[in-house]
Amino acid sequence: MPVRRTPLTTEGKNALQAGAAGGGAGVFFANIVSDVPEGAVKHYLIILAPILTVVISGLWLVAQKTIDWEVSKRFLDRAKKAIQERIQKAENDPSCSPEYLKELKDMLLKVEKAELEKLYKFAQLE
Amino acid sequence: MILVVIEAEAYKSFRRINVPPMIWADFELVRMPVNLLADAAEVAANQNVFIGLVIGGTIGPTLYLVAIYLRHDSPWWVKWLVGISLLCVFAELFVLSWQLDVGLAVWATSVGIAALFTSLSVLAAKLFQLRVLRIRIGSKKFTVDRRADFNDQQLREIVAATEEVRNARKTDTSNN
Repeated sequence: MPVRRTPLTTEGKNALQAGAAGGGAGVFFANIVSDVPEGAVKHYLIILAPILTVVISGLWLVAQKTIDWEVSKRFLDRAKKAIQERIQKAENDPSCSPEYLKELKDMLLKVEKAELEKLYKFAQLE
Repeated sequence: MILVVIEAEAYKSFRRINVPPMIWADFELVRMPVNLLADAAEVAANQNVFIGLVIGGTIGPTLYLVAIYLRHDSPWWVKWLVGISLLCVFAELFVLSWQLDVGLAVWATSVGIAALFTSLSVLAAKLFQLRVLRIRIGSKKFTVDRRADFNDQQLREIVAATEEVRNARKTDTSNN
């Protein structure tokens, strides 16, 4: 019987990447440290490698969240700009209906409110 | 990172121009630094780290970028060309590692660095929107493509989705 695999969630993917980045950085650091002459410093630096792995994994998760927010914010910004452009066009176009202009202005208000309330932080990037 | 950016730029050009030689030029950009670094590896102070950087730094981002290529709706021959180019790059890396007689430590470093660089490529691709992303706002999903313009319907849907998130948050706050 074929095994059906559940696809990884966004959080799962992010955790996997953070683990990979932390592990990679730890291995890299340990390899560089292996060149340090024998002694107390080398001893402590080797102990530091797994701690560095965990710290970098944590920082990676923070960086991912920050980038997700940034991309989501840019997405909302683009939508806001598109609405603003339409409003400008509609205001200069006498054939445009007042209902459409009102709808656009209402949309702009809602997007601006969403920006102020930082609702982009609740968007999920896939 | 430089490799990733060069790759990404070549990728964008390829998407724009859409001619097969661009794929070769693209992978040539990966191959060139590999060859240069291979020469430098022989005189490097820490050969393990250096060769690890070369091998890992090439394999990780290249694999990721190839994955981006293959996820797009390219014709079958483009996928084959990409696959063959990739095999050439990897074959060259294996020949390089054999010539330099690398050990287990180098491979461990390579895997670690490949993991680190791949994660970096994923972050960079997201930040610079090198691939088409999907964004979920409330219960709606949208495609994030900076080259495409929004139409009226999409704008209405985006605004409705932000309203949905706002209402859900209000409900959450009042429940708490």
